[in-house]
Amino acid sequence: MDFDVCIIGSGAGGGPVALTLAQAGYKVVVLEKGPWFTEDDFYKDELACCLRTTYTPDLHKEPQVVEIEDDDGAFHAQSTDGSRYNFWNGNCVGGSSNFMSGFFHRLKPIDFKLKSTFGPIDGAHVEDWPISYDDLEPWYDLVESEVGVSGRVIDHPHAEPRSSKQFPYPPLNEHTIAGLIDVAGQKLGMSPFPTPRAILPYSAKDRNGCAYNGGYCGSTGCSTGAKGSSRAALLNRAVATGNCEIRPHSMVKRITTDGKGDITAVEYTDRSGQSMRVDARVYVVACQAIETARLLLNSRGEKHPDGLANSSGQVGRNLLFAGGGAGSGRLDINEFDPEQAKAMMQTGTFINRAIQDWYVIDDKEFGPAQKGGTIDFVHIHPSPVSRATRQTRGSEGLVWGKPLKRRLENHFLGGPHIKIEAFCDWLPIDDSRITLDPDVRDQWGLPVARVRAGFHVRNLQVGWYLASKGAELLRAIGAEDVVSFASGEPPTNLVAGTCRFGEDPRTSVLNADCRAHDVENLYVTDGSFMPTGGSVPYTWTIYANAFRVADRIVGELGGSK
Amino acid sequence: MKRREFLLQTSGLLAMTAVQSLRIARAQDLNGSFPNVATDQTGLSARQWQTIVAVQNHMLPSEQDSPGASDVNAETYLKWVMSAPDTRSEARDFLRDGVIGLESLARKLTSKTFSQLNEEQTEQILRQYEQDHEGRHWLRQILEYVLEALLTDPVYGGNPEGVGWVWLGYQPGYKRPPADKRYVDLLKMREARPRGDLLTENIRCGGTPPTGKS
Repeated sequence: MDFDVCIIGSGAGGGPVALTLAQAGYKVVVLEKGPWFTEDDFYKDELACCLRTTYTPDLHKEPQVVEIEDDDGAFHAQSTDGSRYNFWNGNCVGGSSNFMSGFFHRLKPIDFKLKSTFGPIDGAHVEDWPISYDDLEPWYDLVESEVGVSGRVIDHPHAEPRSSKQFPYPPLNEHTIAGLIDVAGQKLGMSPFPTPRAILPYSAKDRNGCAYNGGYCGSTGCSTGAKGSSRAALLNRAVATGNCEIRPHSMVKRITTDGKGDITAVEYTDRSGQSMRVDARVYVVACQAIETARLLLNSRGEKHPDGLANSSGQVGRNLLFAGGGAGSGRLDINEFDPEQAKAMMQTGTFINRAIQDWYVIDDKEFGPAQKGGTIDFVHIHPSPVSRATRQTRGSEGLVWGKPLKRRLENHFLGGPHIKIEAFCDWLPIDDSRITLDPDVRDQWGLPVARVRAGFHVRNLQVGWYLASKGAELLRAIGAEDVVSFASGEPPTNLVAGTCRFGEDPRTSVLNADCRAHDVENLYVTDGSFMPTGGSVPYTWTIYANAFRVADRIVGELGGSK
Repeated sequence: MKRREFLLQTSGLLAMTAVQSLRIARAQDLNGSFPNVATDQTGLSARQWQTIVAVQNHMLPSEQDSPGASDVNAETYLKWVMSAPDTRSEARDFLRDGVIGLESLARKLTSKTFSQLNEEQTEQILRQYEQDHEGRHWLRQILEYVLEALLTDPVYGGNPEGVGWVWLGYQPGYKRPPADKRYVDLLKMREARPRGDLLTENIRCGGTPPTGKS
């Protein structure tokens, strides 16, 4: 055997496994399809992060196919090459965790038993989890110290139980708007609380503290290491043990199996295009939900005719996104005295406020008690070109010339914009799934993922409900031009599902330990395992679960050496 | 170049007023200060560029207190974009076909070349061109590249002295890209390379060269 453990993918699902196993004395290899960027390769550069594909693949060489539903319920397929969709979220060591905002919310006890609490929902495959919040809580707690989570615990109606009293790091410096939200929220009977962030407020853990770029964290890599990416927080330490080797530019093409159905090796292509293979005692797949499903479906074998670990036919099914509602508003800078205005217009510190008063919606006008979600209040992304480009859209065509210049001045100089991000519990449905595209191939000749991105109407209803509550609060702090809305458009940055875990091998891909029902030594540790998503961004849960599963793998291999 | 970098790396930029930064930007020889990269692979003639420049200036006109396309180096910026290694030939063809379409519309409706038109005629022709699907797409793209020249990091050659940022009160984040880490440099780290180059890469990454069986 080349290694004890072979991990495919180096993001939030791979990092905890690499660190835990390497620290336990096992030889680990991590295969990452992208390059190994460091802090010296990450800049607040809009062209690099957001207007060109720098940290994700060239879509011409590595497209995906997306199927979007029209108003009449018909699905239309198109290649992402040349479309406005891109489901790649960061292909480099550390994966998309390099580019997350790091808004860290835990799931809550109720998220583990949605079906038994609220009953089934027509047209959705809601299932209870095979584990409880109590099973995952110690691992959420571990993430706080291992990844570095900053914040301030305060009590609010849906606050989840926690074993540590406070976060290991104090909250990041807050923008004046946070105080306005607290005051207005209390008046309205809402309970705004500080959003925990996977960002170090000061230097710690051999990483530098936050450089304070406000809304810039999402989509851009962190130049100081303050953001708790899998790379900065976990993989650098895994490599330092001497037990973990990371192989960048290693595109895994398939996992091969023998006549008995056991895994024989992982086949990958290295940077020069040469075919390589590696074998290990345990294999861990963590390529993010879409590509994990694609890799398993592309890994057919004599005993796995429909793809590896797919005897249930569930691989690729029940793809989840995170989002549902959104909105925005703006404070008029002329309403503040010069000193206040200066504080309002600085964009370094964080708003960091969230509301979970409607994590369960018990509102007769809305219907029977049901799962609601989280409302985050954040800066709009500061990317100036993208914001300026939005100002060119007029009701009668493009806006240019002096009218555009006045619009730009108004948009950029008229006062701070605040964005609402509302997270419903994105429902798992038949029309949200991954298959292999029958025609389109990537640069290695492999069938690409076909993303069918339908949505349940409940996402819109709940998204709308939550966003309008957020809008109410924005109006209460004096914001103007407040809008709120819901959308079924797949938010491409947060994905889960496709290999749900469960007790029954006929209806789930993985068991409660995230080991494949069909294959003894295969684990999946990214967000694919989630049968339902919770109403929060997934990253903290992915980290926590990957640490939990890593602990099981150490046990399977015979404990720490 | 050094002076410019120094200015932008310090808080001097934020302390400048829009008028001050505009004065400094306008005093510069823009072509002289452009990063030393290819801008001649565009496949368009000088006359076609004249037309594009006229469109850019109409879309973002210079005013006394605020920068226009000519102040932010929009022409050279677009030439650089069209010459960039990740720009596909289809993009250059699209840019050229769009110019040809606009010039022929101008000739048809005014019997003049586009760059000879006065402001009112320019507006009329562009609005007419906007009615056409391809024309609208082309105009949107020209406008987006003007805004890139106005608001991307000065390391890309537009936005001299951060003149666009200062005008709109934009505060750049930390860190800003140095001249050897523009996105085109990062792309080289991303792309496949011949096997001979691999050893150095693996050492830099702290790993060892792959030893698996092929």
